[in-house]
Amino acid sequence: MLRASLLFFILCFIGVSAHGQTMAEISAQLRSNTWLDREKAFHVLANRPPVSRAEAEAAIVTLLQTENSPDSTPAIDPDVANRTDHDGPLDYERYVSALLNSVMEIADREPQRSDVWRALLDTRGYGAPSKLSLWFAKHGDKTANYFLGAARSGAAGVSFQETAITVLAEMIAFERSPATKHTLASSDVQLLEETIRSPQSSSTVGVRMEAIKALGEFGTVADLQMLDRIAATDSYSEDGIYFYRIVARFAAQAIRTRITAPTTAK
Amino acid sequence: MSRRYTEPIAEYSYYNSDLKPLCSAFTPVPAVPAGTPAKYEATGTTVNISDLNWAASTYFDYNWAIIWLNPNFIPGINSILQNAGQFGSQLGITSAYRNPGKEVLEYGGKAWSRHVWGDAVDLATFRDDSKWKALLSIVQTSLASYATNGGPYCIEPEVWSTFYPKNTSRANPPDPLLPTHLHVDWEPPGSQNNPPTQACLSKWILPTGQPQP
Repeated sequence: MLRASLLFFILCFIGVSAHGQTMAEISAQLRSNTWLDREKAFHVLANRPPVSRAEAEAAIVTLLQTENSPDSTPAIDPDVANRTDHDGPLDYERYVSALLNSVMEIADREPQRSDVWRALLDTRGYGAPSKLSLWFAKHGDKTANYFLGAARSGAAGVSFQETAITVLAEMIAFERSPATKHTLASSDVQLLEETIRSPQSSSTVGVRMEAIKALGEFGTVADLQMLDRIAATDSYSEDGIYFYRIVARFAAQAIRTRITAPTTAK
Repeated sequence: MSRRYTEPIAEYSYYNSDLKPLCSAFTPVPAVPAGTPAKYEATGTTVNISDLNWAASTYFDYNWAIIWLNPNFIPGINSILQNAGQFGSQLGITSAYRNPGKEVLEYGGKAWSRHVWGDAVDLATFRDDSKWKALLSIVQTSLASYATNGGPYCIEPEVWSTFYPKNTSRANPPDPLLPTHLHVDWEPPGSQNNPPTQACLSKWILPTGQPQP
């Protein structure tokens, strides 16, 4: 027993994980071009790191930054990727999901760290409402400025501009809820609302649709007249589908459901 | 390929799926022929069960499918069809049940897709971002009250369901994206993720109208 304890102590001292890997080997896996190697390194760092917890967490945050690089996403056979029933690289995304959860936990424990916020905010390809987008919405003091910029400029691409609008709407809904711990001043929340209302006249279909839909998340009785008008009369259509009418109808329905629902506020 | 591995139940073990189904999980239903782009359902009606077996491929096809294992699956699709009239008179299904062999051999992944579990459906969005977003609103609204009654669901992010024009890749995607379909599944919470606290991956779209994590 004593001999086993001594061996464990020696292995820890020289930086060997419970799986027998040294930190040098794990570092090589972290730099690998193969995501399966990086995944193995992540699991060792998350579960049985051969180094201190602080060092392991720093490596995990850096690993998320690596996965955020477009070069890290596994290449997919174009013929498969373009099929009408292809569902993306599930096994890779399960790994990234576990990695994201780890970094979110680190940020919750140590919100003063700047590296975790940069790594998380650089993440792309998420939907809303998702676990990640709702988590961003709950941390408005750290994330609002970033999403405000993305929603206004579209510099990070139209797709991300649309996502940013939705995250801002979730942030407003969170900040307005009487049951949650707020992180923003009321003037900041008002600024978020103005930012979402401004793209209602956007010429980009997806951006305007997201802005209309976002009103359903936080809009009030005052927005119903405009939404009802869009739902009834908007003339834009493709193939007989009136996109703005569809999302405006559902946004108005969401507001009506919310204002008629019994409140739990004290 | 030997016959042993062409049996649908044996495939689940052979391809190391997280599902180990019994014979009773399967329903006899003809497979949609390989290469069929979509099967169309009239909106406002109920789904045609024979449009849900996508276990046909260039390798083999099975006239058995898992359809009723998850009790939320068929009611969920029907709820969408009831609301989808605004999307057009018909809604296209591009995939639903897939056997593990098809999932692994044709897509190069592992057999843990919800299509293999028989509780996922892909709905056609015709490589059109606006149609994907409109259909998303229809699905979310259709399933909002349904979800609170015990039918949680997950929706794949748009970027996963995206058509890439030639000379582009997932590592260098075009903007705007062109989604081919919207994937929705009824994975029960806690069945797949580790730690098993919720069903959807961190980037996947969660049900609306429910308490969120």
